[in-house]
Amino acid sequence: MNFIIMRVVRAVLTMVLVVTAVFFASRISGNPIDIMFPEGLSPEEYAFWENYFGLDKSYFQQYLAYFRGLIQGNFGLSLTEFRPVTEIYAERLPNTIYLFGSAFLLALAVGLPLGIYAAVNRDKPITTAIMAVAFFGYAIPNYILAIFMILIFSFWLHLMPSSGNMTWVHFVMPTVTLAMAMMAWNIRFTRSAMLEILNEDFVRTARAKGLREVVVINKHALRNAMIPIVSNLGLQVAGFVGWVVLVEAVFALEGIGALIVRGALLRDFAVLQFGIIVWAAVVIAANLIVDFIYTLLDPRVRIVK
Amino acid sequence: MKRLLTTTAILLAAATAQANELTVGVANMSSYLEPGTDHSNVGSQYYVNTFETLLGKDAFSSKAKFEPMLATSWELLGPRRARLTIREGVKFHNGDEMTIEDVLFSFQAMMNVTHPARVERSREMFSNIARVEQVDATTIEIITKRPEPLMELLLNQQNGMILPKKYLMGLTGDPNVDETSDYIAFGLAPVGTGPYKITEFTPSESLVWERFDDYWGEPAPYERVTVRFIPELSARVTALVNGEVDLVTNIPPDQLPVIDNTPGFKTEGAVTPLFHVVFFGTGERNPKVTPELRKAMMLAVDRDLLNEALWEGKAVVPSTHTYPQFGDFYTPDIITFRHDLDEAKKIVAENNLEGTELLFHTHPVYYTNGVLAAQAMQEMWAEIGINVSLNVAIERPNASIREVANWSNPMYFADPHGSFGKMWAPTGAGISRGFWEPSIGIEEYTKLYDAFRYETDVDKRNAAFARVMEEVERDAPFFIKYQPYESWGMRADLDWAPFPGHIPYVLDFRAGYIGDEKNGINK
Repeated sequence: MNFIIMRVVRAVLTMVLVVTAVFFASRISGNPIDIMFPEGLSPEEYAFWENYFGLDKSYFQQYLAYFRGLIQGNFGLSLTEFRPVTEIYAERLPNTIYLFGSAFLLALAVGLPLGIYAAVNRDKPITTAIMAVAFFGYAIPNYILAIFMILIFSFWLHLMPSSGNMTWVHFVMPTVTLAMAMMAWNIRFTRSAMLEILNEDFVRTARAKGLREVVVINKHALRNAMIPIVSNLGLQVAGFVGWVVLVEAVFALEGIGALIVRGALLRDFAVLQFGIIVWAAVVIAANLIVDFIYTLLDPRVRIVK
Repeated sequence: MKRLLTTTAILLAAATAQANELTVGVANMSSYLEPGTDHSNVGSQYYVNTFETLLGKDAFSSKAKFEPMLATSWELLGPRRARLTIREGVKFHNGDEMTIEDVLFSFQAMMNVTHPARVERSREMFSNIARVEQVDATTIEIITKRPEPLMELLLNQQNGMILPKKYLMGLTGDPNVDETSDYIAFGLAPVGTGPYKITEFTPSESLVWERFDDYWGEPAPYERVTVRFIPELSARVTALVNGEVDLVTNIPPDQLPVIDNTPGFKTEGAVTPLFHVVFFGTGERNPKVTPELRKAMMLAVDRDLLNEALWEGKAVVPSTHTYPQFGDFYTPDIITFRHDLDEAKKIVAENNLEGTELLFHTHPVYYTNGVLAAQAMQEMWAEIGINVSLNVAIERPNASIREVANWSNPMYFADPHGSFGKMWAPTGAGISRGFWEPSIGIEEYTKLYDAFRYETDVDKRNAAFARVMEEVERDAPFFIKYQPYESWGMRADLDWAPFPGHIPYVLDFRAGYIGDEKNGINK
């Protein structure tokens, strides 16, 4: 119980620190009203909007007001859309979850078996081919891959929609694009983790006992290799914004990665702050889940009470 | 694999092409839709399908031909008084019937402003209206402070579109008061009387119009029109040729062949009633940017060369702030802006301006070719010894530190007061925002301007406008670069083109304004 309370307290403190840092850093960059109205405003109108969004108060007063709102469940109004940021995120979060979730599962479903195969059959030509694909996927930036896919499948072949998120078909190219680098990462990571384990004495012993190869690989090698692999997957989830942001931008997919970047670019403070809160929550949740999976994979890992 | 590809193609076709629908990919999307507050080039794309004014105007004609809209008839009872009969049986999109109360309220909202964001619009457009009186259940009279030669033009303005009083006031707070928050909430859930009602609006992202079945006039040709924000030019072009959208906006000249050379697609373009301008810091806050320096910089810019290089010669380089749409008030003989390198160098030498350093601000994408033009002018100014560095950023520095910047001056209505005046009248945006502090003083300038604004004789009015432009040439707060040529890409079977009688960028999809072979719609 204490453990859970400690984790929650630590998580809340982390969030408060992150939001505080973002709150002040974004305001130092300047006044959003200059960006909201690029054609300029009369002094009366400028003053009106400053007052409406509370930007005429000192940073400290704004900070207190923001935290008062947070306690009441009010995460603020978007400065560019004049509506609660929670409403905006509620509209966009499902798109990012579909995109990242399907790419993550695809990368896992393809990357993990290929990584294992490449480790077990390291001298076969097909392994060289797999590693070449992994190298390609790892090396090519996803926005370049995205543009190539649009060019081939939309512009030339007219097979796929190039932008938007209206139907599941719209998610196919963004998902494949996003999954490519994650899959490459999974193949390389799984292969190296497995190679390390396959050289261990206990694997040799298992084989010497006459166990079938499939049991040696799945039960003895893979289970031990899973700890670093799960850590890697946890990092992928925690870094989801970094993964999706460019893909969402190129495919004009209305997700939260693009929203957070827009929040930073247009100084839409409430949007940016809430985005960071969501992101921090995902990081914390990912860490908790990874910790939990560790305990399932390795009985020696237990929560210290 | 082939089967998979075929299935996907069928699904894609099903997802994108549905009966009697139009999908538009736009470069700019509004964050709110409130016609009384908005006067941006972004917002002007969307209002005519949703909202209506008292008087309509023939958009196919560049001349001001007015026609009944929410007023069935009108009569000018004298230079300061107009009488209008309000149409009966008109419904708002929320089902409420439009009454004279709504009309009076819409004027009230512009004249007796409670919403500070409407102050500027009110000052620019309706400052001459003294009061609006109800004569009977369907008749109103508009009385102005001074003789108003532009009465009909004012009654056709986007800022004067008719709003639903009860709905708007009931959005937030006290339902009997039009609070500021009501207008802001209205901008997110707009309701008008036009042929299309807005059924979905995601600010800065997308908009869906559906045919309004209770519309008083000819029904909208489309059941549904979807507008999607696709900011990247290449993404917009791809979406068009891939069949995801039917029409795209803002195609620069160098991209026109990409669309025109693709079978089944075409482009339509026109010189837009909008000027791209360069304006300067003025007044005591900008002592370095003197009238002499400003004039020398205007003279140094070879605008014809900019037109050739950036617009393939399709833009228009005017000699003064005037548009052919002004009819009798079109004054191309006035020469306010010109290119004379020798004179520019002479002014620099006489006033010891060589080596002056200035910062030029420009938005990265808002003005088509804006950054390229800035870079070209940077070289032209270097030729006369003025060193200008560029600041390419979304935000524009406030008036006190701004030295040179890009801007645009659209034609809001077909009269010098509706374009030059909207920006540079004593009540205009350029002066109220502090862009220009006339060196002759605001009182003198107001006298000079009003002599033109309220003159009813054509020749005298044009002569008075020439005197205003002489002051602009002398004080040089800004100069016009060109009138840009803007293009739209579309399916080849769409019969749509920008309208000479509209303000810039209007996407008009009302009956008679668009033809669509695929959907069986005749223009």
